[in-house]
Amino acid sequence: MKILSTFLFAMLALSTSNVQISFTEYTLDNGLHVILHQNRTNPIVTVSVLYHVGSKNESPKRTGFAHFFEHLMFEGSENIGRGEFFKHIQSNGGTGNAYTQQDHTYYYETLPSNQLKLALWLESERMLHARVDQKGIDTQREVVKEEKRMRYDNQPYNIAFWEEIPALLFKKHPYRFSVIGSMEDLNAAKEEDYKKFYEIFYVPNNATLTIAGNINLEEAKKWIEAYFGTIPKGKIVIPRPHVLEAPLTSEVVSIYQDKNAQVPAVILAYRAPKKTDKDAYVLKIIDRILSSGESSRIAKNVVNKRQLASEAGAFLSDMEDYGIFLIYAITNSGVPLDEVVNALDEEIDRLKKDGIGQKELEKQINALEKSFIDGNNFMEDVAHNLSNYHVYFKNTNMINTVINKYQSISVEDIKRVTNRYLNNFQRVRLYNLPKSQ
Amino acid sequence: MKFHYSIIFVLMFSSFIGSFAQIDRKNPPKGDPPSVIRISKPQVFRLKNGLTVLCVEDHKYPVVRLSLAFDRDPLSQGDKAGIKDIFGEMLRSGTKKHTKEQFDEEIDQMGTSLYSSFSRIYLSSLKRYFVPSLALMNEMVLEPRFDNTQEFKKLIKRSLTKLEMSEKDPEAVSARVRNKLYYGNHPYAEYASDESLKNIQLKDFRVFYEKFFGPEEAYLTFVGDITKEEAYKLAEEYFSNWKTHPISSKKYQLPLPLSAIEIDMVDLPSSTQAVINVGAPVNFKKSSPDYFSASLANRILGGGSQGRLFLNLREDKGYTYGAYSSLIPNKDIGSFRAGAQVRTEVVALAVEEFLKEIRRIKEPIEEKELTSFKNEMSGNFVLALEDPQSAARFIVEEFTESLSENFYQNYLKSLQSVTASEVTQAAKKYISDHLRVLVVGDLQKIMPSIKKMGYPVHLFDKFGQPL
Repeated sequence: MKILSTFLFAMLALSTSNVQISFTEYTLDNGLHVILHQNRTNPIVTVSVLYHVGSKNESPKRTGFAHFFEHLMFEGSENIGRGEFFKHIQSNGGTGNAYTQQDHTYYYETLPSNQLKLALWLESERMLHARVDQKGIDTQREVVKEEKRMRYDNQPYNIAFWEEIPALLFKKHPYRFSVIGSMEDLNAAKEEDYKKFYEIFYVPNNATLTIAGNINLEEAKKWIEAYFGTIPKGKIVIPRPHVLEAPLTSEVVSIYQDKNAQVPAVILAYRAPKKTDKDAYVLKIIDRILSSGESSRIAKNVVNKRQLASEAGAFLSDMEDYGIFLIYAITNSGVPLDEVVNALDEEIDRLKKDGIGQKELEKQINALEKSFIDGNNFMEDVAHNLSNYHVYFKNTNMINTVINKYQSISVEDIKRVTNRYLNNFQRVRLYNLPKSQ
Repeated sequence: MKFHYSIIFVLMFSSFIGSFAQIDRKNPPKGDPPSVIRISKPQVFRLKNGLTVLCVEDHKYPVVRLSLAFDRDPLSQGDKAGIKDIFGEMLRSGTKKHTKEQFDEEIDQMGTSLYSSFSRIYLSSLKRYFVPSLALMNEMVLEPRFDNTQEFKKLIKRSLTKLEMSEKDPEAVSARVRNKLYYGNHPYAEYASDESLKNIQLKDFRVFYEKFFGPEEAYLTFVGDITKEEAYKLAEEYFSNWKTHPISSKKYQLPLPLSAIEIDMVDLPSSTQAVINVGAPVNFKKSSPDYFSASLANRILGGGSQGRLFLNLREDKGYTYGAYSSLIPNKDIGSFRAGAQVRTEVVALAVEEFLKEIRRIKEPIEEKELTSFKNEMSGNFVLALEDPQSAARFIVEEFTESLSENFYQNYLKSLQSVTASEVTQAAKKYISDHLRVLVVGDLQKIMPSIKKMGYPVHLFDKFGQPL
């Protein structure tokens, strides 16, 4: 009878849009936080580990180190030889990857679910006693440099977005550096840097293990205890510096000469609040109002009607300590850059003065409800979202309730937040110009 | 009406683990008994006008996705290259009942996403807005106006800007020149130019639409929180009055294959890295009896992060962020391609390694290596089934690629049955000894070391014209 009523409840939940993602979570004695989501639809499982360390934890003389370190964390362990980490995943039918951003480093693999233990073994080896030899360090350093060349040095606009803008927007906070860092700093890394970084940050009390997919919860818990329970807690207090930036008081205007660009572009960058701030949600809605969909304001007015830009938009990059709100445009041939800037400014001014109507707000709530569902389609996404809500919001269940936060936003909030954050004196205006050869 | 059934079978063998909480760190843990894999085969309907309709039910979330995909023979854009790229946006630039602005407003208001191109229209919407979203999409497909001058001007402007931007983009230049050299006068070689874009007129879209936009070559797929009955009723209601039109198809000549390896180079002085592309067009179809052997050969050579190219050029030499190969089946003409972006100083060394690995894949391979790649492909197949759209895609492909009836039901079995010698045979058959090596980069720095390699070297401009 009990089973039946649970089942009926689940069916009811599906008949409205009130989708719930179930999970259990707990913390091991060594501080490792564990989140489990069971879904038996498909015989697959995603295992992920989020380490709460990113480029903002680097020393200013070692930019790019956190990301470089991520590469090294695939080199092997005391029981896994060089190059075998991925081989174990691949030869058992899985896929996996990792990425590094400003605030964290995220590792994940998805496998047929009968290989859960393999993933637990691999991730626990990485956490317990990763090992890197000189050949591994030398090779990965070259690989990372090629990654930098491919993604940044050989691409139009990317240096402006990821190196110039952060450096102009932040003066003291490590967000002023790009995640990929500099080649000089990569070359300067020493044995001691690796050891220290691993000892301080790659410890269970700085990690979140999330498993999503076709698992038996009780068995999974036993195996997690067996593989991770014996990993010692970190001995060093994890540094979490609070770097406060002085507010911007006048517009920073700058030019970047881009050898890869053929067409001029402009970027307007504003400093935004940290991602847990209520105003960050409001800015996310503003970003959508400006540029999500063909009926959004910048698409409709600047791109479609006035045809000043071939591509234009806005996006909020929300981070733990601050955010960056960007508006950008790549001009159409022959259009003066300042005409585009004026058109973008008109959109901001209109928001400040007139705000938006209730219908436009409902449009965004519909879109966010849809994007919530789209964003939890796959086990990899669910694992990723669960770990993020735990680490940054200390509230894993926000995966289910975040939509309420958006629903509580009013049309007045939109006006207020635009007036508070999107002012000329608080921004960087960067012209990305083709470099003449 | 067709059959409906599902096939169940077991993936991979493995031994059972007994006791809990006793772990051996030295060795990788063995897998538990594998799960049963179900591949359901959705029913297929055909409307009187030839439109193929199928539905995969998936009630996890209240969302419905709809895809209308076209399967046409290669077609030439003539002197209007670029029209295909903007056709999809012109399609949604106004219907009999809605201006573009009204249309966009209504789609966005529902939180629906709608994407349209010449070959596919894709709609994804919350269940409660599905029918009104479908109605709009239907208007766009059946009653487009093609009279929106403003949108037309925008799209041409944007295409011209994109073209301008591609001038310093080594990847874009490499793809364009590669297509020209591989395919000659075949439609696959066509690219937009200033001239061809300026040739396009508003009235051309109507002509294109009348000629190429019919239900007979289209597949309408519903996936999501909808029942088959609902889906077929909606398909009938909205698409049965879509008029058929004659389909014409033409055969195209390809350039003669090379008789020796040659190196073709394009100068792009602004490049920090060079783009290397080694390959050739090849007659390779998904329906080929040796499809699985050939795919495995490619996987082993360069299918991913355990491929020989990746392990050699990245993990051993550190020349690149990634080196891969692909063997692309196509019912008209497929291709083999291997490539990487490498720093300028090591271009010649990297080309040597590519050629070495390509020679080596035609030599006998070890059983152990083969097994590992079979497992990878099997696993990836199982992982792909997480997306309910896969089941729909499989059925559509059975039609469009002329696959054997149970190609995907037998996928794992066919894969397991491939032998090492079949892989070698397939590598020899589909990967030519006489490949074209295309290098796009800063030639002043690259040329001396390339010349030393001793292969014939030819220079081309950014559009694939010989210099």
